[in-house]
Amino acid sequence: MAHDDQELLRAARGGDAECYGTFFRAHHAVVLAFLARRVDEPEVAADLLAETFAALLAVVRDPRRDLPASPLGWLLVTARNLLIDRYRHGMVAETARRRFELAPVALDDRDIEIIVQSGQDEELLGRIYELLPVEQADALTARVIDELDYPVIARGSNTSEAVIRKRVSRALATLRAGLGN
Amino acid sequence: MSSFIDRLETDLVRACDVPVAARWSWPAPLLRLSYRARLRTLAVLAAVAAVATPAIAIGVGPIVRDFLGQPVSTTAVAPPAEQLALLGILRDPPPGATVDPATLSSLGFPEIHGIRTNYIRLLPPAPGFPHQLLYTVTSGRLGAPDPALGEKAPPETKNLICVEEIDATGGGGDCTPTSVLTSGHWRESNGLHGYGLVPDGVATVVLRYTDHPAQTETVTENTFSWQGYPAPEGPIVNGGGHPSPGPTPEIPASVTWLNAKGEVVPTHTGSH
Repeated sequence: MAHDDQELLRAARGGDAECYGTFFRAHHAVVLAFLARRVDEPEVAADLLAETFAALLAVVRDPRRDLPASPLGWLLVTARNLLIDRYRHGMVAETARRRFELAPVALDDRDIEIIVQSGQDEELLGRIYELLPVEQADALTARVIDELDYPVIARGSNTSEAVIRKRVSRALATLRAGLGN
Repeated sequence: MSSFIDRLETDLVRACDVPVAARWSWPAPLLRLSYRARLRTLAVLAAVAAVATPAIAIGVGPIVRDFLGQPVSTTAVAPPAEQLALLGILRDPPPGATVDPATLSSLGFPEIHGIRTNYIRLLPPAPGFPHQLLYTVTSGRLGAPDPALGEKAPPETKNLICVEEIDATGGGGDCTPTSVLTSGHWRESNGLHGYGLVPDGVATVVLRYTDHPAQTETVTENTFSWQGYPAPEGPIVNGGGHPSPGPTPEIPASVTWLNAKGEVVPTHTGSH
């Protein structure tokens, strides 16, 4: 639950590092599933996963910054933005990992299998539907995760493209406002 | 044998536990220079900065951040003449419609740039849309990259018109090109409540439905609102194959613009 997430992050900020590990264990599968659906190379998905959680750690460690109201939403949007940056620059950002001196991600065959399987994990959808009203979750998953065009989603939903665009926008706003708590 | 997930968790916990010390090192490009060359480079940069800083300070507007906390650039430059000509609320706002940029303290839209801070307007409220702001931006990335089209990143679209609901109890909002407005497609819904944006010259709009009577709505300050009809009963399946029980309003099959004389105002559908 998002409420517990915030408590974990607050505890991590307060010095209980194990709480960040607990938070990581709760959400790494969802973020990895999100990423594994979007990239063909497991190494890239692993790098993006590490950078995403390191970026959130940077927020947690900075007492001047507010903790995200919806930490899972924050992770997913950040992962998506890092993915776009990776497309643009041809490499995965490593700013946060370098700051915390995280070891480079090295994958063996078993790790690669974990990543490939996570791309078919349905838990991701379940968590998004926990956080958002169903019509917003439908629109967000269809557009952002399934990468369907707005007209295609609109036809499938028996509604207009404009309505779908607004639902996606509202889903992001809902995550921002923490209404899914 | 541990997986990379276990190793990453260990690293993150360790990083969370280590006190953050203020560390300083030469920026990476300077590391490639000799020590004396670094000092010369910094001296040149300092001289340039002394001249440039006042100019930068003039150009930086109020800080606006997106919902991830990332700063969004602003500009004091006016919107393009086309947008000003289309939207009287931008060009000649009624009393109380001009909004301080600080109100946009936490934007809901990622990846927009150049918010025009002197042209942020409060739109008339309507059921479901209690506190919407209209503003324009110099550019933004709409949607997600489409690998099928060979896109490595969403295309940057210039001169977007944005509407954002800033009250948590409301819904809606979007950033769209001007063509969405001129084509007559700028509409949003929140449950059965609807809200639309139209250009100057449109006094009323007629909403027509497939299964329900038409509605005629009056335009106020480039906006109109309506109460929609519930969609026909039945399962609705979204594009991802997931059932969606609704509520989903029946959307108008067509929207006709009328001027103050009751004459039809044509829309421009070719560019949308």
